Amino acid sequence: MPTLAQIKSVQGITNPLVKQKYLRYFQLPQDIRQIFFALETADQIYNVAKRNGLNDNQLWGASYTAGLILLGEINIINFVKALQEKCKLREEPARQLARDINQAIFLPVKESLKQIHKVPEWPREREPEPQQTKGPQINGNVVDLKRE
Amino acid sequence: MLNFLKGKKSLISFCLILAISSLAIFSLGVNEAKAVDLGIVDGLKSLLGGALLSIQEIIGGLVSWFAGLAQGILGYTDIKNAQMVKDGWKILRDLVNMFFVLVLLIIAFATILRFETYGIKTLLPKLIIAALLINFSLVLAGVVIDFSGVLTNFFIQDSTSFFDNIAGSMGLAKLQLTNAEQPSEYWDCDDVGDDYKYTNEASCIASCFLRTCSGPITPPAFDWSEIPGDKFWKVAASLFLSIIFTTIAAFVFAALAFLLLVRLIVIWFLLILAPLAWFFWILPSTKHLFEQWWKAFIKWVFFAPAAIFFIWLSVSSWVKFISGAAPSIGGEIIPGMKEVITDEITQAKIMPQVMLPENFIQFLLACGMLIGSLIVAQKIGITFADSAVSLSKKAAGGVGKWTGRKMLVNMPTVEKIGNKVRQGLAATRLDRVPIIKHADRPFQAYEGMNKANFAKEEEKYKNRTSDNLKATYRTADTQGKAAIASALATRGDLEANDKLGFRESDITKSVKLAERYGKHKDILKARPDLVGDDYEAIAKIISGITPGNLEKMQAEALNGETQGSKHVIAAIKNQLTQRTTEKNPNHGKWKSNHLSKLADLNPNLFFKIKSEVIDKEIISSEEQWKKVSQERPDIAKYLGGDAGKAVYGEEVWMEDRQKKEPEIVMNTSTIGKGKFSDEERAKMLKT
Repeated sequence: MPTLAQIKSVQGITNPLVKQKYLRYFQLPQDIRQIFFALETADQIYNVAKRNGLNDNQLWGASYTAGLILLGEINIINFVKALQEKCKLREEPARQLARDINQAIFLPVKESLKQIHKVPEWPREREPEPQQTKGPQINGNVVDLKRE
Repeated sequence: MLNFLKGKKSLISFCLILAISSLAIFSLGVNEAKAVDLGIVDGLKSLLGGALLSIQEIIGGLVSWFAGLAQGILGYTDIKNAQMVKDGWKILRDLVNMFFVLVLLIIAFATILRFETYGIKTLLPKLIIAALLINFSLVLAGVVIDFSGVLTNFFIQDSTSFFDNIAGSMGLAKLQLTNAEQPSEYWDCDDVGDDYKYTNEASCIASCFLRTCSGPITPPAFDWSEIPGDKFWKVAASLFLSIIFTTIAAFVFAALAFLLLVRLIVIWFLLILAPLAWFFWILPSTKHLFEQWWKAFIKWVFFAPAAIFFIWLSVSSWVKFISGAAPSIGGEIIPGMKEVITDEITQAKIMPQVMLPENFIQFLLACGMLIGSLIVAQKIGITFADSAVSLSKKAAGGVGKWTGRKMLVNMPTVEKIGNKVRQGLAATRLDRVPIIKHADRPFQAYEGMNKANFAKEEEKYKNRTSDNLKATYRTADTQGKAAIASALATRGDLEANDKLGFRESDITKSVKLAERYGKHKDILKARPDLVGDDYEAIAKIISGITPGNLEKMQAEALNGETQGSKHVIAAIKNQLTQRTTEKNPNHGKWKSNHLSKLADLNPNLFFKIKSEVIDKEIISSEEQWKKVSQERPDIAKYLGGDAGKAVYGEEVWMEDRQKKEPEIVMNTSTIGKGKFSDEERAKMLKT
């Protein structure tokens, strides 16, 4: 529950939707609250957006959607779909954008996010190990020509 | 002690033998004793009885002597006019009067060095008061002593024989053995039925002119052997008890006499030291010495009325008890005593009458109450002294505050004069002349002291809740109001609350009040709109606000109703959209960090800024957005990429822009590839 001081600090907000969202914000775990308005988060989203070649509109849409994920308003399952809608992207670029945002912003606070979104595992929680190219297995019954 | 005992070995042995043999004789009983009576028993009886009687008589004499001494000291009321006091006080007063120059020097240096505790503001009023008090200290102390004298006399109806009367009520006269009162020889009318004894022959002849005057008659020495053996030890025990209680009475009167004597001497010394004590009151570092003096003075002066009151109370209750006005308590406690001390023994005039049952209990109670009175009087004296010290502290504080307030009313004027002097010096280039350039120092020092006083007030309100401060605002004095407003501003709670009686008008007024103490800046940082119709001043305040301080700023400052709040909105807009230039040094000082802190710490104000500035001036149209992006790329970057917009909402601008078809969906260079490979992703992450 938000504290009295927190309730007091949003009393002057006239828009009920914003007020409600602020109250929800105050109930977030501390680590999520720390990254919410942080300059670093804004920078990371900005960089990811630029890397993915988003325009201003799409940048705003991506930030907004990322915020809603952090807030728990959109479930992580619907992240790509929301990005597609907000940023008017096709599925593949949206999926790539989602992966990048996830990597940059969500993964550092994945434990808290797992609780908010009620998922047992966070997407890309475990980075896929790069496949090693293996040479042919040399068993005893095959003649090693190099040695011969 | 051991050596002493070694030397007295034979004496101790003799005493032990005597005691054991006496006990043996008495406990064997009369018949057995008679059987072995060879005159030893009678001799022992006389020895023991005689010794006890002598001790009793000596202590009885001591009691009356101490009572007389106490009476004598109590009668000495003209303490302050003693020659020693007069001479000593005069010399010390003259000496202390010389020290004033020294204190003035200390004050001067402290003021120059801005050492506020010893500065002119704190010490000058005290110095003046002390200068007066020192020269009248004897008179003032005399007033206190006289007051205590009046209190004392209130409880004493006849001050000349107060202790004698007490001794009488205690039955101390009865402590003297009846036969001891008898003269060694007397004359008597030889008429049966008249046993009056005359001390000289002439008075006897004059009184018994119808009869024959016989004499001189020597009263027969009391013969202890006449007392039967079974009664003797009871009488001896009673005498022993009587000695104990008489000793207690002697102690009580001795203590009273001693304490009254000590009181007299201590008050003498304190009176002599009075000028020095008042001098010590001036300086903070010696003030504790004055407090010690004051405490001792009050304690000893008021010891007398406190003691006399309780003694009077005790005595008056005994008198009632004796006269039968009060119910007899414990009348049945000592029925056994009646059996022991029969009329026969008292008639034999060897027993102090105080040991009679009806006298005995009265005597015990009297002793107890007297001891109690002494203890209570001592305690009351100390308590009185403690409360007098705290009272004097409060009074001194009150006087200080009053003088302080009187001076502070003119504070803005002083500050203005100081500023004028400063400006004048600068204008005439006199501020470079070594000595003259310090001409505004006194004014600066005065301001400094003023702020120090205010700091104390702030300290007082520091730990209270904001609601409590708001509720007490109306009842606080000027300094208190300024301190409360400043405290609320520092906490970021400077909001009107009509329920608690803290109105918007109070906040407006508090700026002026706090200005007196140089604390208005805190309030103005919380409410920059209260500056009024002065854009430059508001812009300066807003540009100086750090991200951390934004928490304290109130959303009311942006209500747009007053000219001030309009300036605030304009100033914030310029902070966010303009660059700092030489022409506008107070613009563009807010960084993106201001916005991030604001959104987190002060949502109320952030929402207000968003609706009044960001929505209207930054993201209302694409042109404006581009303009801001050029001027303040950091702000645009933050606003563009902040996840927080999920909370505070940014749909307004999005909706406007979404009406148009999105121009570019994806960068063509990346669209072609469709998807980043893992290598590319890793490369991009590195860059």
